[in-house]
Amino acid sequence: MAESNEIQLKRGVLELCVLALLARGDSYAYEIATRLAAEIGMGEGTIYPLMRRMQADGLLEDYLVESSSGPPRRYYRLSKAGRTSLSSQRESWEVFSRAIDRILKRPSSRSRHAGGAA
Amino acid sequence: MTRMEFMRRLQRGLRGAPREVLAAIVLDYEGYFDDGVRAGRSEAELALALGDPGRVASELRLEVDARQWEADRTMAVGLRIAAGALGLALVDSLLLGPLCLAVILCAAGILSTIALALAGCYVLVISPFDDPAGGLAAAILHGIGLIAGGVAGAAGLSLASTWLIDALSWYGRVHRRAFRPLFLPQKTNNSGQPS
Repeated sequence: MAESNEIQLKRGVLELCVLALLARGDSYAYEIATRLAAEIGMGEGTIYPLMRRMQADGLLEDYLVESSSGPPRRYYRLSKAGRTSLSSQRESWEVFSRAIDRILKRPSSRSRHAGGAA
Repeated sequence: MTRMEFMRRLQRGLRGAPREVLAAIVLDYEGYFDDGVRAGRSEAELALALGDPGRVASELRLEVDARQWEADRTMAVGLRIAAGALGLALVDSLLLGPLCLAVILCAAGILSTIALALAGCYVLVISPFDDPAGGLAAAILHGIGLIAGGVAGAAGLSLASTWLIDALSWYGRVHRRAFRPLFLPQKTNNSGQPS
């Protein structure tokens, strides 16, 4: 159960992570996929359909860059809609994670409460 | 699995998709292998990281068909979506059917072992008054035997059905996590931009 929950959590923020990585600079799918696989343990295969969907939704734009060592590489950058989506998703995430942090915080404040009551 | 094998099975799973869409997907995954090899990984390792190509293809396929349906509500596209969903359902029922059948058989088995034990009770209680053929002791042993057999059978079968239900719930979880994210586009994409 715990494992399944963890994967659902990651899935939920995957799009936000892709947007955030692309906000730092244009990149290609392999780089983003291996980065997210290493940092949050997401399967590399899940990134490709996700980026395709994001591109179809107009969040990403792509362009080809010639490569000296092989075929041209497809780079992605954020579109205007992508930047808007990033800032609104980032804000949702921050509000949400602050609220969860408050809920999860160890009850160190209880002693203060008890002291006040006594 | 080799790169060729992966790409072949991916393309077989995407047969019938619009040509430019197929080409873009093939480019994506070829690019993945190119970049991975450039980074010093083996093709087999890269294919393993992507997962089962048939599964990848059917997820992509449903996404592609759903988009086409939004743009172009024709009968052909609608039928293809229905066929794709049915195909997945068929795969699932091939897997789930026998499991469900086994659960039902287990339940029926448990009921019949209970009946066996009840029959044993009957033999044990009634036979002393009924002048049994093989003598009183034989009838009592017969009754006890039936009860013991029934209880042992019920215990074995309930253990087996616990395993089966574990298997079903595992399948349900895997299934849900494989599909939900692709099927439910996030609302923020389209409606989250007020300006």
